[in-house]
Amino acid sequence: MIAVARRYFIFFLAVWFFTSCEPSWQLTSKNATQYRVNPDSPKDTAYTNFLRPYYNKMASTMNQVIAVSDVELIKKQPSCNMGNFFSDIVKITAEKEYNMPVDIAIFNHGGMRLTSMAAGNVNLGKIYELSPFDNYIVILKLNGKVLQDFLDLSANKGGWPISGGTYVIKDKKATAVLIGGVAIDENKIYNVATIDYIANGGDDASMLRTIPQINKNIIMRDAIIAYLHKLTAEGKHIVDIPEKRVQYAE
Amino acid sequence: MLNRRKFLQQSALSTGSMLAATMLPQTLFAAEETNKIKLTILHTNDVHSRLDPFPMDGSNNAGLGGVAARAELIKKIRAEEEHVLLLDAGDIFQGTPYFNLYKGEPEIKVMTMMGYDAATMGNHDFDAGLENFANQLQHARFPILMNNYDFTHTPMESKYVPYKIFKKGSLKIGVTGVGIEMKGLVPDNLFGETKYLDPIQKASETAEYLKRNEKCDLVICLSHLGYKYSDNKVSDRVLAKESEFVDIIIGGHTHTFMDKPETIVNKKGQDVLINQVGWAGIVLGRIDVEFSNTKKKKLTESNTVVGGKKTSE
Repeated sequence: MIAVARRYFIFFLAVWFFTSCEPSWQLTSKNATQYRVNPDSPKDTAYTNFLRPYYNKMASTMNQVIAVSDVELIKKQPSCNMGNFFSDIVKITAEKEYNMPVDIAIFNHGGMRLTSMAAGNVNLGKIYELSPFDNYIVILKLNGKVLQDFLDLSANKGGWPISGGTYVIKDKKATAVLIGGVAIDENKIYNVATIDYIANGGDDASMLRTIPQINKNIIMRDAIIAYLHKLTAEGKHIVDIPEKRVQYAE
Repeated sequence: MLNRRKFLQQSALSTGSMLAATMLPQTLFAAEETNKIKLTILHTNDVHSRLDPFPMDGSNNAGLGGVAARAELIKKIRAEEEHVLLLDAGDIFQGTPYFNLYKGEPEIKVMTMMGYDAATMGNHDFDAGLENFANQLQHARFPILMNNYDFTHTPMESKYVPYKIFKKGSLKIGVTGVGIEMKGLVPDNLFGETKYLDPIQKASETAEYLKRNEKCDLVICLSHLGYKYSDNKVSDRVLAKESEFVDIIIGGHTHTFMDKPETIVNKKGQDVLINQVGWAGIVLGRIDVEFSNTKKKKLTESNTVVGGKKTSE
């Protein structure tokens, strides 16, 4: 009996010892699912209530309709009507504000932060969403060689919004570059409008870092808003500019 | 520790018959082998100040996203699952006028309301300056995890940690975070004196520490590196391949809508799961990770008990 009891005691000790150790977990399976947050998904009103004062103050200015668009503007590479429309605004604004001819306007594709902008009324908030950053429109005087490098970068990145020029992406480079309809000239100096973020070397535009910038602190978003106000005042709408300014070589 | 309790209860119940019955251990160990625990990881990335759903204006994302619906969904999942972690992979800020007006205050406040457990930093979280981000974190009841930015002598200096360990039941989960190189991506004046360190090296060091020293059962890395690039720029895929102790990478930055996670085999031949759910809170990601207790298998092996049929559970 004693022997049995001792055996039991030892066994119990063993059980105690092993179960006292931190259990070690072995990963056995990983399963993923995802939930699309749809318009008809149930909502927790605590959040709508929390946001209401923030929203109301914001809406009083941001919901103001500043333009009407005849077309859905779509952000797409290598070229799109959204990029065409807004790069045209940058070129027009730069020419007017800096009082000089601008050969091309170009900025990064990622600088447009909406994937699409619906046809119909465009409110101020929409432009804040499209262009939320306080980027300045600047002018750089670039020789044809540096400009080619810059365009090659934009080609390598899949094509950027461009106004005043066209090119064909081949082997990740900008080929058949036309500036104002004329082939790019290595020795010519071009007035290039872009945004300070890119001019400072952003999005890998390191070739621009050392180039002096002409900068009157005009925020790109403000330029777009001013342009749209003017358009509306003239009774005009945002229209489709479908031309393929940047294309891939066949 | 529910499982251990059950184990002991079973031993107690069996005591009466055990003295004579040498068969007992089989029953015990058979019950042990079924121990399982599940962790549910919920995750977002690149929410970009999208507090309200996209407006119903006919555009392609109309009506999608919004914190009120996401919070309801999270609440429902938390009611169904015992062990939940809610994580974000950065770029909380920038993208709607809320940010232009309020500089991120409501974004951080709703994340706290939703009970986020941790987040990492994205390049756009610098957009109103580092000081602003640091300042808005006064509203956060969750840590910012960052491994490869050295914020010494910046306003972020005391506002982040390299990792956090979460205990869920008897599980230990180590969560860490890495960020993308700012130079060329974030204007110099916004990141100031922040130093960028090698994300692979730093994440691996921390993950190794979490696994080896802290005995974490799982290591999750929140990453704002981006899913993949056509050149050899460091990405989540590169991190997965080159790291050693990371099990799951919750990614961001490239706004990639992944239909399902990708599995990459790392240097040690282990699977690393990468997931990313687009942007703007359109999708809430979920990964359920199951664990079983291997310890008890060893117990069975290390004793000379002859294994019988599993009798219960």
